[in-house]
Amino acid sequence: METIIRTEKVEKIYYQGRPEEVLALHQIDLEIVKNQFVLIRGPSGSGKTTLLNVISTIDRPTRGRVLLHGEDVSNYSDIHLSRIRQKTIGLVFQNFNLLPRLPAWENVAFPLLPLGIMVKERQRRAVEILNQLKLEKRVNHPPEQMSGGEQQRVAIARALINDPEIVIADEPTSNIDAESIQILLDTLMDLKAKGKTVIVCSHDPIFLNCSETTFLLTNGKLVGIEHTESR
Amino acid sequence: MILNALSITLIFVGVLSALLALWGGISSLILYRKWGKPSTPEKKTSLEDRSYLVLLIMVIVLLIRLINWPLFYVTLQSFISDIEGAMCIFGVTQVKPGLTRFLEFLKPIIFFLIGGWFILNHLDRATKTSPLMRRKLLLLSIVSLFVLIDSFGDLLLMIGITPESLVSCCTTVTDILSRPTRTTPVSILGPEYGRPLQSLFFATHLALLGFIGTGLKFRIFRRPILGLLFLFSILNASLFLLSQIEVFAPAMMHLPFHHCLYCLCQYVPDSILLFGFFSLGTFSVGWGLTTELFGRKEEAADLLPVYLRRIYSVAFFFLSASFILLIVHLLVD
Repeated sequence: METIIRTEKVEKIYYQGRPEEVLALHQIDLEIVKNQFVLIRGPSGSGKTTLLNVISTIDRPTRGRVLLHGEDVSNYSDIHLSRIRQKTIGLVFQNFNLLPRLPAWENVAFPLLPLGIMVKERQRRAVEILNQLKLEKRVNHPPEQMSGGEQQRVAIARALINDPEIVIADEPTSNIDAESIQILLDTLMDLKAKGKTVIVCSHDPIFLNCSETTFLLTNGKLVGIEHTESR
Repeated sequence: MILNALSITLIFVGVLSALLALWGGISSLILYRKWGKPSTPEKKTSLEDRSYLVLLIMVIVLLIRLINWPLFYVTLQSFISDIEGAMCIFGVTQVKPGLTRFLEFLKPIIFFLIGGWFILNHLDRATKTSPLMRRKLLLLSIVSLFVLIDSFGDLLLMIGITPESLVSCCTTVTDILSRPTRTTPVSILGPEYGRPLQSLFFATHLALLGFIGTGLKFRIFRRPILGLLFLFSILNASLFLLSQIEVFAPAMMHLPFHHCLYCLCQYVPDSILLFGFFSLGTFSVGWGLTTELFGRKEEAADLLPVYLRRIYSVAFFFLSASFILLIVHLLVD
């Protein structure tokens, strides 16, 4: 089994050296294996999102190392980290972060803009991926005309447009209804079946049935790892 | 002051780039002092964010300054009809000869510095940890100083050139037998200096192309060799300029006693292309050296030979193109 992400003694301190200093992550050692469904659980304020930001290279650790495919990315420049994210990681944000005035396909095609791909090709790829996520009737609709679940799927489509190896979702069920949650679960499982590594950060127990590895965080510490059989 | 669309553009560009160069120069100096000192990831990210803004704005300013070089001459050209006695750009340069000569000397230096900085920036962005950032920032503050001086120079010149000026034509300086440039080849090569000077230039130019070609073939990019190559390219450029004034310009213009390069650009417009190609070729040889000098860092070590090969390929291409263009002209004329 190939390790795709490894953290070594990762610590994250906010407001370092100031009175309001916060130790958000403490000595985190974890390994994420390729093509697994990984769940990061923990109560509010346990450091889930901070850990997600660190392993997705959005944030740098204060101490320790983050290894992506065995390569230490902790000291990489922001430009290079952006390139890594562009190629390797697809991010689904808690609040979707869609551009409200743009139609769904333009939101999805947005990560292709810096690559200099022509508009027709961008549209073709975006429509293709929206069709796969059963959003063919919403291609030209702006997010404000969609339900929470549909917006969530548009956000997933945007995360997948560059065909990343890793899909990371932060609290994906917090803004959608029960029916959309089931569609979301099916979509994430489908991604795993297609060979992607899916990392979800959530306190929603619904993901417990899908996850193969669960990391349990409390007060910024990794207090438990559960492995279940591959699904 | 002579106001037309071009002079207004030059003044606008001058004011804008002076202000931005001042801000960019100071900002890059501050960033240079802070960069690399041990700090928290948040401070590092904040420094990086600030550097992106400074670099983005300065890249735009530097690109504008690259265009400023041809714009400067086009603006001077547009003043010819307004200045009594001026028949070509030479006449316009005689209104403020000291300042104009200074700017004419400064602009290619700035072009060279900006080009070198852009290559270094590109190399740094191709690495994973931006190891050249401090050097880049320091060089940027130096380039900003030059841009600031150049911008002020442009503004002073635009203010100083007035329609009431009375100047002498280029023929009174370039067509007389005791021209200063003429005395140099005569004293070295004798009274029939034309053919030996031309042959000397051809020999050095072909030798330069040969050296670059050999370097590319055998991938010899060692610092002393690149330094010698750069010195040789300066010698070649001096001979190019001298032989242009003394031999090629009169031949290309079909005016055997007229040695004015400004008139050459006016009468034979594609000679501008010839000068452009030659300048890019010569600058590329220099950019190879600056990239080797400032781009050598452990992390960039693998990329550096690739960059040097590309730069010298560009040098080879432009120097060959300028040579072919010159030969075609001489054969056709």
